[in-house]
Amino acid sequence: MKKPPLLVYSLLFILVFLAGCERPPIDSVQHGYRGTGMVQVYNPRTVSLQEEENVVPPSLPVIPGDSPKSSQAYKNVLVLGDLSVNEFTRLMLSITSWVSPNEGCAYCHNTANFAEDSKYTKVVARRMIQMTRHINADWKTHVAETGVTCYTCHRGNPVPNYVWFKEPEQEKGADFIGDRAGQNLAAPSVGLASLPSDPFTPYLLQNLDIRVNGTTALPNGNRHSIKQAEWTYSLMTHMASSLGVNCTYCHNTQSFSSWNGSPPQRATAWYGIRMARDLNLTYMEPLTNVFPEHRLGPLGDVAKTNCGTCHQGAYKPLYGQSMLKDHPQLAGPGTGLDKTTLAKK
Amino acid sequence: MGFNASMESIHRWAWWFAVLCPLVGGIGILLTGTVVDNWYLWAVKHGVAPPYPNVFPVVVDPATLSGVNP
Repeated sequence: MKKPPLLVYSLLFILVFLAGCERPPIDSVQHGYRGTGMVQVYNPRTVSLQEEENVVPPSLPVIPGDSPKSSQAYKNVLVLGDLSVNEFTRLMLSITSWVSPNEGCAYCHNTANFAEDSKYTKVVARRMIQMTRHINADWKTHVAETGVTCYTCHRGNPVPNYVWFKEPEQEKGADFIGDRAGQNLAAPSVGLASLPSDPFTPYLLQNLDIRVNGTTALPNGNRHSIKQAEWTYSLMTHMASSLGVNCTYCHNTQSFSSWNGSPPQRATAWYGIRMARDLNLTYMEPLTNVFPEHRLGPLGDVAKTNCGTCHQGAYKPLYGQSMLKDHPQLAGPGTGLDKTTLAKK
Repeated sequence: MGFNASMESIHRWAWWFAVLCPLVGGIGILLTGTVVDNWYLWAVKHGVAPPYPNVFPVVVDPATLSGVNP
């Protein structure tokens, strides 16, 4: 046999074999003890693309001068009535640029009568302002002083790019096989892995056990199965891919379940899971009937939040730049934590 | 074929590799959950897993705190 064909075949084999890989060089940043694999791996080309998406838009100038309270000047102001008319106007204009820059005021308001609640978007927006204040006031354990604004999730879109819906029930195979438990779908929600594609319903809506590892060396009544571990893995993969980080951003390589030696980000993430669950239960689900049908999911459920809704691929939304400091009106007052959510902890 | 390997010796290796993989894996599966539940804690107990210096501030499991926001 002549040599060139063999070379061509091996090159072709290498090309096909490596087609799914990212090309080097890849940066790695150590953030734990040496030699323990506590590194974050970054592809500088992916990161530079992402930087453009995480630029904070310029905030509108503060309108100077005294003005009466908006609740006195306008009708039907139920949430932002404590703001002065100047603050109120600036916030309304900011919200328009964050949420509906193309549609303008008319996206939520009847322009003939701004006070009217005829558009569903206005009812939702009001609840979302309450939610933003609730996050900034009551979930400092997750958002700290950086806080969130409408822009954190919306980024100029009327519906945030990263939301989730419940998935239709899968067809059951033969009795012996059962259903696929949402696996092997290469779903983007779990980073194209073969894991269950909807880890959100059990963990960010319901309150199923995320911790499946035994807490003692020898068996001591831990009944969690491998299947449950796959669901946990699925949630963790979603968290890692929506934050653009590795497992070691929160976990220590020696034992993922051990809190001893874990990076402090793990506690922040723990509160984040509870926050997403609280927002889905307290704010999103009760709005289901307000939304028109085309905004609902295949099962008629409302769009809900997960880690990607705010983070959008960055370890901190907008790389930790605070927009809240320019918009202190969104900082509170909070509504306090819902007692039922507390109990479901 | 270099390294003194022959077609037969390579396949003898391959045969035992193929036999021992599921055998050893099977033993691991049978032991896990019946004799040992958490291999990390087991390894700590028997001095296999080395302790590393703490480089992070102490992180407390929020689930163990009382009166914490959920």
